[in-house]
Amino acid sequence: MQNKKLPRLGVGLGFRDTYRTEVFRNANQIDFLEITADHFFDRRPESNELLKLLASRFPLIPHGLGLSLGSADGLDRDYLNMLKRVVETVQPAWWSEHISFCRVDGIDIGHLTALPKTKATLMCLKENIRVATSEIGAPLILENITQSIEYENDTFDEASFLGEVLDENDCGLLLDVTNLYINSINYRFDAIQVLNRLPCDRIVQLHFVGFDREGDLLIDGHGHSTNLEIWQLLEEVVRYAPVCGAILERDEQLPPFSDILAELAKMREIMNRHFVEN
Amino acid sequence: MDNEIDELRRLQIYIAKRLTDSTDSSVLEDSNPVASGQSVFPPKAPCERDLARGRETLIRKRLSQTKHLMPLTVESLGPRFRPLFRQYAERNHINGRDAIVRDSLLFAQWLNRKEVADTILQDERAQMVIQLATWESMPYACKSRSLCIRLVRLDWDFGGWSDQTKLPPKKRIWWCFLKVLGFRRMFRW
Repeated sequence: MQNKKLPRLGVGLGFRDTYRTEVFRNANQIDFLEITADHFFDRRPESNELLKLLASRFPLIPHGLGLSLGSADGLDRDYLNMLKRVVETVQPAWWSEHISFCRVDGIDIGHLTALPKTKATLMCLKENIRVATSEIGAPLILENITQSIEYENDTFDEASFLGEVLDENDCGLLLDVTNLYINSINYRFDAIQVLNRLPCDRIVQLHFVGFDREGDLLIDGHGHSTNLEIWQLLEEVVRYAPVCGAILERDEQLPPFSDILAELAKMREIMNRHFVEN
Repeated sequence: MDNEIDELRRLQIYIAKRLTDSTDSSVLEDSNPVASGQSVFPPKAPCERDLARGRETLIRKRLSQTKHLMPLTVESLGPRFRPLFRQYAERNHINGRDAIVRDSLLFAQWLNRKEVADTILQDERAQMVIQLATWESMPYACKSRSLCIRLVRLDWDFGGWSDQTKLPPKKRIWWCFLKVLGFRRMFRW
């Protein structure tokens, strides 16, 4: 999968119901929306109507939370079918999931959990991605997560593991720039070095939002406006790769919508500045 | 490679258990090859510090989601909300799609059992049950029913006869009446 072959969607917002009115009122300042697919799994008419209403006004990208692509147990078929229904309703340019596991042996952790970077993990991911993409036809892009646990004796480092996953499965990357930065601080590596080793033609979409600080640790709380460090890294990422879209992911301590629009405008300005170079 | 995938599965189960249930000591026993570092293939289990951090992240996430569903409880408990939720969350974990709502509901029941909360929690519980009702794939006709009817329906779903048996006899009769009314409306008698 190459980002140059996908449509350039621009800068958008992770849709949250709290902002429903503002989203429609300011539709001309939002290029596309990312919807959390899991929120539309129930078959309530209201959900379907909202989905269709959103799709009639914005390009939509479904983002899954619970497929658990890294689970050694395989995929949950019920979940996959519900996800497939949402993706088919939306007919998106691509859809996304995380490189993580959140379910195994009947235990639903309720949180995206980091995978060990080994050959066995690559095998599991490959099989699960094969099953998922055989069911869902739209292109799949995979997101890097914030790592809260680290494994000893990993056989790959961050960049080579991501590269292997993307190449083996011919997937795009949803690069969460905030997660990359947080991991680089918490686990002491150079985010720019990792970025420069990622396949630039596979970076399709970006996520960005501010982080929280707790002592020495950075926390991915989705509750802060985008920090200066993240803007600087975004600038580097957009210079490096001709990304098709960027999504602001705000979930907590929601600010006035004008603040959200200001962040979108700033991101759009960065992307426009580098678009010609790319 | 099959062995390595089995090993990975064991590692994932170990991590899932450690993250979701701090009281399950069986995963810590020396006989567990993952915990004792005897697994044949890399990687080893994450260190205790990372697991504690993972548990903390998970509890923080659950707390953040729960507080949106029970604003009245947050208000009535004030600064006691966080430590109480933490105490509850360390020993209870909910699986499944409606986990957030069920987590809030179980927390409210846990509070009731601890006799921490006052009557305001009863109203809160009613609100949470309503939310759970809308999350489930109910027939459209049922969703437009009144609060009472929906509560009756949900009590049935939870197998919750325990609630009505706590009621005094007169109220119990009303409860049964509402339940019948609920089913009548549900199936358009």
